[in-house]
Amino acid sequence: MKHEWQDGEISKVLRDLSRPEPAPQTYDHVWFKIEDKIAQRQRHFLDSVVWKPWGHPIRWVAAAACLFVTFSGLIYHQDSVDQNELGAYLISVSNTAESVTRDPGLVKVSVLLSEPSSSAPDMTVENHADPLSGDEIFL
Amino acid sequence: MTESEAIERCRQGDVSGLQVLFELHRTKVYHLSWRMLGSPQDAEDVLQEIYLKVFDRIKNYRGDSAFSTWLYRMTTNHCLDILRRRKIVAFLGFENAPEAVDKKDSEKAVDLGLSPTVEKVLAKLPEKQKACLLLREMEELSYEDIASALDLSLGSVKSNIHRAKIFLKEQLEQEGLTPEDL
Repeated sequence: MKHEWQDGEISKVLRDLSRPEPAPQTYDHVWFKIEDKIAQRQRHFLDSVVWKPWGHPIRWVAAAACLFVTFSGLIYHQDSVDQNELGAYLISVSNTAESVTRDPGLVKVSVLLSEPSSSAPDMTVENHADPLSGDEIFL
Repeated sequence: MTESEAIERCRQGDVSGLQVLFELHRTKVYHLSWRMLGSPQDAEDVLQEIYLKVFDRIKNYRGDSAFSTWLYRMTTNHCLDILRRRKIVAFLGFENAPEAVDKKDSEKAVDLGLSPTVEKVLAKLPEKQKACLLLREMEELSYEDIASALDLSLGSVKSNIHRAKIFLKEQLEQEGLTPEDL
């Protein structure tokens, strides 16, 4: 004969069903993953942007190469500056005529300023006198 | 540390608060997701994702309902999303896609510690009905809490549970099973 199931019996069957039990370390494992993900998110933005040479041995080599290029460049530049200065000093010491023309104490005055111009008489200082002064003669 | 203190700490971004909440509710979340999805691996993934969501969204929790109800809501919605995605993947015919790989009913039943018959019948239930029934009968939530957790009306929850029970009854009777057999 067919059994007629009641609501209560259905509920009882479902409640009596065994609860799935996870492996012993499951919860710890999940928690470590959660912690790790949160830590990854909280890490500073710059940590992922800034290049960190200490991360891997090959980065040490790259960093050393960069430093070598930088310092050798600086030394080369400084050396060329020194050479130029020395060259300039030797020229000034060995060539006196050249050094006179290069004398920074010598004041050069333009010809235009030192002599009155004949081609533009109106621009002379005398012509800037009061234009009404001539009128007084005819009064 | 009490639950409310843990929630407050969690709101301030303190992981120790989240750890307390994890220890308090992990079993419920794990069981529910295992029952809904049918595999321990999926349940582990859901547990992890749910607690990360809790950490992100704890500021949205206003405390109107119990924290466990809020947690159940997130878990159920997450599981329903996964099931929906699986259906789409199966529908599109990506048989080898990892999400679409589904175990046989009998294998799932062994995983769940259920008799293959009960599992088979539960697997045939529509997802909403299954969720309502599991929350009511296995997690022993009140109708109001289920309504809040699943974002359904009280009437809808009751009718879902009623329909699910009728369906289970019919199926078990068809199999000729009695309560003593299970």
